[in-house]
Amino acid sequence: MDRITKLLGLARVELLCPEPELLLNRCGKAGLELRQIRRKDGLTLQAVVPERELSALRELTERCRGELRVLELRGGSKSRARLRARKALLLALALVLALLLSSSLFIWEIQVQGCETLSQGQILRALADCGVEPGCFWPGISVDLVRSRMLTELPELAWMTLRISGSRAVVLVQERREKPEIYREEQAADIVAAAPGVIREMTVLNGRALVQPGDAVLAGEVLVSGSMESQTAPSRSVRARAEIRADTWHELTAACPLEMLQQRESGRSSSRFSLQFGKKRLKISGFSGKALDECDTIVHEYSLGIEGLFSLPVKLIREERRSLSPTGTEAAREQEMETALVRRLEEQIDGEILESSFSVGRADGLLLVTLRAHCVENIAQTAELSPP
Amino acid sequence: MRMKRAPSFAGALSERLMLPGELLGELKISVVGARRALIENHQGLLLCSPELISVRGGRGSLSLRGSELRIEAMNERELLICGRIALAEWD
Repeated sequence: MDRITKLLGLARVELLCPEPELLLNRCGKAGLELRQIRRKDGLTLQAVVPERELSALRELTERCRGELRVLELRGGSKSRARLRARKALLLALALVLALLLSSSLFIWEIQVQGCETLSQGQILRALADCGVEPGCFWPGISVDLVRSRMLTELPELAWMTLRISGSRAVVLVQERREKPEIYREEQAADIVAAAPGVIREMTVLNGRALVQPGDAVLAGEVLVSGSMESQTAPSRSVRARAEIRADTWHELTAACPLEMLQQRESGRSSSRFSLQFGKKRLKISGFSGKALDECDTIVHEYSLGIEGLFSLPVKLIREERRSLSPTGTEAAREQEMETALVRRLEEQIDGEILESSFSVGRADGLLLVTLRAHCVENIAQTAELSPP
Repeated sequence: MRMKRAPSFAGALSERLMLPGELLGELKISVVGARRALIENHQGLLLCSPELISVRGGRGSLSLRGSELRIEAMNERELLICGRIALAEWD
């Protein structure tokens, strides 16, 4: 028996009839759905029938000169009658339904997708300036107007759109791509050394090479000249282009106060729960114990509603505080500083580190870590010539 | 389980043409263990008691004997019988 039939109600009946088989056959022909038929005695049957078919069964029973007696009613009219008596519950259900329907006309959740350099906060603030924020009435929002204002307020945006489904707004943004460096081919330029080093190999695509592999050069020294001289014609200026790989040596130093202790999570954490209605926040439970001076706070937000369908104007916020304690050895600090120095050097050069060494010292209450590295990098740098 | 099958034209035809007999209105009975039997293509209930349930088919009738027999569901074409089925007889 399907769930809808059960929901609509079932009746357990007793059928008293001189010919029970005849009654059952007539029920079958009439399409009545009889279940759990049991013969009690020669004239009496018990069966379960959907409540909506009760009157038809009664009529058939009477036609067979029988009698129908309802033993029990399950679900259906009985449940409805019971529900009718509970007016407060019905009122609350109606209220919840009305709130759900009306809340879907307001935006309670805004999602930003596609931002790379801009932060979500910047976009949300700009949206709020345009009138799109949690709690706003979305039928009154003009997407075109919001788009025009957003593109004016945030010049980094190339395009944006706003998609509203129920009480969720999804903002799709496309950031503007930076224009590549454009240079004029006719603008004469030299190639100079970006860093001092010993030239290992060079590939000159345009211009006149002034140095050769094995030469030591200083930063700013002209390596490839844009001035092309000719014995038969006057000299002409071109834009020099070359890739020059050279051995370079770098020295980077990092300092850290000796008394500065490294903070690590101690494993102790406490949580605070609150409910957020639109912009208002209602604290449910506070942090247990005293406030922690050195701690990280992580905020977890849980939206209420059905993902992708609608969200309620209520969010559960959990603020987790993880306490930090001063732990860690000096060796660990040195290790971290060395790693940071290598990372910094890798960002700085256009090449690779061949070998590196570290030295550690202490001076004026500082821990000093020095990186000395031998690298191979491209030191070619374009220096445009001023027009004569 | 003892079964008696009366020869019928529909039965002979369906055997000759290798057609499923239920297409020609013959009774079809599916028994699961000895607790449940589904009878299709019935043409009416002849007897119903906890020891015997008898149904009319296109040609003849089928009787199920046993104990605690009951009709779990019934409609114009099908009958679902539950209980302890001991015997099926075709007349």
